Amino acid sequence: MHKKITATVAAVTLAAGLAACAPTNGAAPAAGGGNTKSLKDCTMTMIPKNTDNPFFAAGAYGADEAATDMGGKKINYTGTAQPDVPGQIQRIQSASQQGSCGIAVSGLDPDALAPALTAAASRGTKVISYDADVKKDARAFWVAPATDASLGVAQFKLLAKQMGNKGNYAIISAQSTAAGQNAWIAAAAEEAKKPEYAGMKLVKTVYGNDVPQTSYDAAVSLFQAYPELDGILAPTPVSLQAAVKAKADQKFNPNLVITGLGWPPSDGALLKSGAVKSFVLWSPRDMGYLSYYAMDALLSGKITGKEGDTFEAGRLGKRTIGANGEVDTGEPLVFTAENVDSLMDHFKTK
Amino acid sequence: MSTQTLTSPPTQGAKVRRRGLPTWFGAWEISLLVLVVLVTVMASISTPYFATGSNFAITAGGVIGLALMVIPMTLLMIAGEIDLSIASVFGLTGVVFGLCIEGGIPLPVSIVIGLVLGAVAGFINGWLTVAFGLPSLVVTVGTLGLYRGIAYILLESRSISALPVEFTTFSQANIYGTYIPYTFVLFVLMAVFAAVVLHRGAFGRKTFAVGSSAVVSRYSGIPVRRIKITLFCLSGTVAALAGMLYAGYVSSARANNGTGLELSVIAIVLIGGVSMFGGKGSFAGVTLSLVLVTVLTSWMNLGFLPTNVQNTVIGVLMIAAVVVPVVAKKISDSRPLRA
Repeated sequence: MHKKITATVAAVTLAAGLAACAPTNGAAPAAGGGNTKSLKDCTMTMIPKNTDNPFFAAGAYGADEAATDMGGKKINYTGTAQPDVPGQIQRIQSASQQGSCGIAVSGLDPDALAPALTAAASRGTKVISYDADVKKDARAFWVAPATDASLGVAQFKLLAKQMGNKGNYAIISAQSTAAGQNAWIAAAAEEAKKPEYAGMKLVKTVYGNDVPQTSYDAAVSLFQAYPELDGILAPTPVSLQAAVKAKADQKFNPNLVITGLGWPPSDGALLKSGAVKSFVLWSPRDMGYLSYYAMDALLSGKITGKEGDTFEAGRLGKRTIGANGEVDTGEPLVFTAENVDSLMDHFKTK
Repeated sequence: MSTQTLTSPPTQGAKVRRRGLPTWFGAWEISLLVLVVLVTVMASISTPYFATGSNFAITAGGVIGLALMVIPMTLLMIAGEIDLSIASVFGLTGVVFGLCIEGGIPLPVSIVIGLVLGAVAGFINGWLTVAFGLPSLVVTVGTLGLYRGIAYILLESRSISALPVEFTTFSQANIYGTYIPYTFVLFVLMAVFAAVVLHRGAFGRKTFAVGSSAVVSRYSGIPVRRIKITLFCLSGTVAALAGMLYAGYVSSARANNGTGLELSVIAIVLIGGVSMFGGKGSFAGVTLSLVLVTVLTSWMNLGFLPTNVQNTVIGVLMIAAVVVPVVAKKISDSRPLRA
């Protein structure tokens, strides 16, 4: 019985201690502070979807490259190894409380991050999103990979060119709900309406959920359902690899064209073997680079994030913020067997 | 009082060594306490941001979903059962709660609907386990898929973020003027209640007895089935509460909320020294284990500890928690032979 009382007393004391000490540190370290700041004086925290992904590591590399170019401070790159929403929220809160003057986040869930981002902003921390956007009112602007339209059209054009603008094609996408892929597919459909593509016919769109086996099975069933298939558009690297493997395994029509979105560090081999002639991607390094300069412009007060704001972004030149606070990294890059090695610098992670 | 014999049947030798130590705070608990202190000191030294009120608020607020579910899992595993479906109940309840709110049902009613749903989900687990004599591991692997599947059917990959502001505030904010999240207070109240019930109440004694030997308990007149079903219902209800609070914390109800959380919960309970065969464990150990994992997570959040280090530490602790009792038993079993 005595132990119980002792434990209770201990618990109450602990709680009281916490309560008592808390308000004294109430005034948090001034986060953003004044209006004229620069990344030369304070740190930007970059929060990716997950750190196990070389795509985001290349983005962080680009941001640190910008820091070197500008003479600013290196970024604080922090995230969970696997995608984890509370992990992102806690990192946003910690970054703001540690006095980071800016947060760039690739949102796992636009709504979930909004309260933490808004709270950070109210402490004076500047907030932007990069790669994947968050709720519009929770960030100043969004550093996007490239416009959805340009990515969709670029992939479709590669397909059309190799198919000679005629024949049947199918799409093996990621999840049926993947916002990026759906926007690209819509842009491709719009482009396909042009008269020069009248000979091309989309027979079916299927979803591999970005899972290799599901995507592979989707490709095989397409081959069985459409033996006359001439092309596959794979707007995600998982589908691209699955389609190539299925084509080889099934000894399907050797003239079948496969293209879409690829990941050069691993899919460069497909280009060199000739299994894929070309594919599209943007530069994660440039995206990180641009995020750094954009954050600095926001901190210095040169821009606020409204449409039409322009700023200098080092080696990328002058950039303008477009509709919905979107600023694009650039035009999609087209990778071929000839250029893939020379473009590999875009994917450097250290 | 026969607690001593009921609480430590797997390691007879331990009885001697534990003289002077209460059953709820033995050698394993002391080791965990030392680890907690060690890790806390290391974290505090490595970063000035660790030992701060604001970090306490961030960490305690973020861990709520996990922390709440640890409580009923401890009781359930002491009773020799397991519930792998908790994270799915967590996700499903968040979804149903969100749909209720979206449909204009008042907040208190929506919360009650969520809790009842959790209790029903838990009852189904308990009933299937008890009525058909199935291993709960198998039953709840099934309902893990079932409940998550229903969540996806109901909401697909949509998210509901228009949750009432008083609810999201409760889930996210601290008590005014302090660094104590509201949800932390809720957790402490529930944890203290559960600890007292487990270690001081008749229900707790019966729980230990059921976990030690269901057959012996039944002959002793303990309503084994009713206790197990009650514990499963509790597990479902608390998972429901955690799921709704988590939806509030992340301001969105999604079908995939909490996916995989059951493994973290079970890891914490095992590290806390609860036997995977039931009948043994203490709430103090599990609480220390929860604190240890949370401190490691927070340290990692602050950017001073890579995720893989944390995963490795947790893995090693889990293996130790499972292996140490077996080794201890081997040693104590061999002792009479030498004597």
